[in-house]
Amino acid sequence: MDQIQDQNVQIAAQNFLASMENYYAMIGQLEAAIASPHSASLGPMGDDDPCWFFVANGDYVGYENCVRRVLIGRIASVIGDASDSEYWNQASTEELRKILQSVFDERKELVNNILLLHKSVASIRPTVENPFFVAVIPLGDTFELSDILTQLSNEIDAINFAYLGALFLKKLYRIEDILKRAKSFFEKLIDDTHLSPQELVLDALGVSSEHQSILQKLRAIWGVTIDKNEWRIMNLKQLHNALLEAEISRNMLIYRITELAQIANIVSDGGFVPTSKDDLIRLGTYDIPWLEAHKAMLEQVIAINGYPTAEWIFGDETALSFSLKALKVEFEVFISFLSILGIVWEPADWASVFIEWRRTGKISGIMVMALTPLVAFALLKFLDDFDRNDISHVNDLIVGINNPTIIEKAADASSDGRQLISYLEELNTPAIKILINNGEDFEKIVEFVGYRLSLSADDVSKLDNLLQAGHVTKVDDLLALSNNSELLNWLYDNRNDAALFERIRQIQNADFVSAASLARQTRKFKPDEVEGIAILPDFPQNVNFSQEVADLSTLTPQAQAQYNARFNQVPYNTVWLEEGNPSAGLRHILYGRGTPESMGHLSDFSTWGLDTDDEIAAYIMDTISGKNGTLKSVGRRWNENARIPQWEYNHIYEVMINGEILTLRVAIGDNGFIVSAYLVH
Amino acid sequence: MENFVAGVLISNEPNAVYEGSVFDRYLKLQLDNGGSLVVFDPEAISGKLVVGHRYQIIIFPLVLTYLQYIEKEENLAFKEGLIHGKIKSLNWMPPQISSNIYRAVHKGSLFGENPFILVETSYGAIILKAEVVERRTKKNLKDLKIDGFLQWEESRFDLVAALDPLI
Repeated sequence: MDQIQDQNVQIAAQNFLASMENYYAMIGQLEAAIASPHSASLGPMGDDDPCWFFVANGDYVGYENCVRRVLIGRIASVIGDASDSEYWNQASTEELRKILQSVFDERKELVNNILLLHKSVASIRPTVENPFFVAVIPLGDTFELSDILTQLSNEIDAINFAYLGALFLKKLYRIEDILKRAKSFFEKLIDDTHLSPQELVLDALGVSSEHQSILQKLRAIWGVTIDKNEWRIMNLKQLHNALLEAEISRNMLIYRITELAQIANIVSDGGFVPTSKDDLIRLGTYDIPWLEAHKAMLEQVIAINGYPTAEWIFGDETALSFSLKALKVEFEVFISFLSILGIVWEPADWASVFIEWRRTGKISGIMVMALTPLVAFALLKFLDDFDRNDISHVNDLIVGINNPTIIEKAADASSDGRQLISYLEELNTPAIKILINNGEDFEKIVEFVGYRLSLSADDVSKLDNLLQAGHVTKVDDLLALSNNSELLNWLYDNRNDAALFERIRQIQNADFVSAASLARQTRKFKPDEVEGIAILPDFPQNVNFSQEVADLSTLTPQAQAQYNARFNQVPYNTVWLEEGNPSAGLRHILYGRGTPESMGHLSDFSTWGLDTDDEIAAYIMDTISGKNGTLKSVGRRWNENARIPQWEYNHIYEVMINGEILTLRVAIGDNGFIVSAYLVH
Repeated sequence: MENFVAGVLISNEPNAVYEGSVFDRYLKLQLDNGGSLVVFDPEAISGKLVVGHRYQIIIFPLVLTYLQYIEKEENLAFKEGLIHGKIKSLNWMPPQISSNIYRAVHKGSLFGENPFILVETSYGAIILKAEVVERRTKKNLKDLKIDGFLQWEESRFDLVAALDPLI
């Protein structure tokens, strides 16, 4: 819908500009003609000549006069108002030309600004930094509910919604002035003015006190607090007429109601006791109990709807009863709808809003809405399949949140409807509210909610438990954990091990899942020395193994067991780099043992342009993560001379840097510790 | 037999060590010409070599930057930090593993598919991977000539094998 609106505005503006250019071209033709020494005597040269119009109408009085008429016509056309034509008639041709140039330039700039504004407003979205935002739906035009909702899906700050309000007026002859005034007033708002946004908008739009006075009377007559849309675009005379018609209409209504009341009084006073159905029908009623019920229902209908219709006053009990019931349901649903969306109305008169909705099928006027990202999301979801001609669909969605039967109905009616209910339910769970309250990125929360809906109840329960215990706090971590049920189960099983989670939290240079994976794999890491963690991608399926096999006969039974246990598998899927010491880890990689023989590999890395510790550490970790090249092979060697006989591993990566293919060899212990890394041929 | 780098092993130290497991080592040899040479042993194959014993070793340099083919000796640059070797073979193949001359060997490095270039340096004969030479010099092997020279920036020497000192 945004796109369509954008296109419409763009097309209208482009057409406007094109027509302006065309006008200007015509003026240019005329000027050229006047400049020609032969033109005055020759006159218009055919249909293409703008002056031909005057010839055709028998009104041709020379080229100069023709040019003046054309110029004045163009000026009036650009401005959209010919009320200054007397002044223009007094102006010289040259002055007219300047006026046309001026108004044309002004209008062209205005249209360009509108295009720019429209583009910028359309690009604004809710952000986590500004989770609440306020929008004013502007005066002066009518909108479908879906239009309003679309606009509310944009995040709008004070200045922008003033612009937006003005934009929506779509009245080009006023918009420039409105823009200036609206901007000025909303700048006051930013300066903490005491005025409310509504007052500012009203003030900015320059609604006269007489306007206000008539509108007030009209509102009183119709029992509404929000102006009908058509009133807002009426001039003063039209408003007077509307007031007159409303007074007549209301007087007639009062008369009929009084008449009905008199009939009721007659009946209740016993002055006339109908004895047959025909008597009741003749009275316009049915029977005494019915009449009392009818009156009561009528009062309720009026309370809800603002005014009674003739059908309700003179209709039969069944119809009125049905209407009342339907109205009540509709009212409740409507209010629920707005409540769920978190929309706050000012003035907070639900009934009048509903009356407006009932009467016009539209919502307009000033609405100040405070929206959370949750609401924005719900609005967007509603927009996807919202059909305002079929409110029952929306009803189902709203009422259905607490009603299993209707959930099924909604599910039957629309899979999107069912999904929305599910999303809303999920978003309202205590666990997800923690994420929302933490200020997590809402789109990610929604993404997580969507993923969460596909998880088993058991997994959801475990995730919620970890979240509510404060062990996992970020939505990214939850998302990643959702994809790793083994890790999730392990964390859940160890949820009471506070020291474990403290150690995981202490790892600063890795995301939660990587840190937790490492903690699951080994306890031999030093949290505050971890430089990076990498989870091996697709390992070891696509890797060629080379291995130097031990002579089993030389091994102790314990060593043989260790050998066999690790022979057919790589015992780690997570590797980590620690600051380490002169023998192993990052310090060793860079500076070796610090002896003349063992100076480390820093100078070799420098030839690649990697000069700092951080750069080298990041490069090694990125390589292992599969970002810098390809894992060509994994060599392993049985080290029976180690303190505990074990396999040693060497990963050989082919990496490309500065256009050159090189080989990085990474030595890894059997618990995933990166012992060393260096370049080889 | 080629005149490989030869000397008395004067140190053989573990370098990268984790959990008691030695991942690589550094060796230092007192060369027959009086100088000394440090060699990196990435595969830690030299654990059983005994300090004080004499060995021949097969090594190749890690050439990451400058490597140039120079056909005539008079065109060689004699600057500190530069090493050169005279090409003795453009398609050198190692002695058979079954020859029992190896005291330590990394089969993966020595018996791969790629040929080596054998050059005679001031340390003794060493090898370079032919593909590395082609890539660095931007020349095909056929453009290189026996008795031509390769010159490169001094860099790490990696141990590929240690041979029986008597051969």
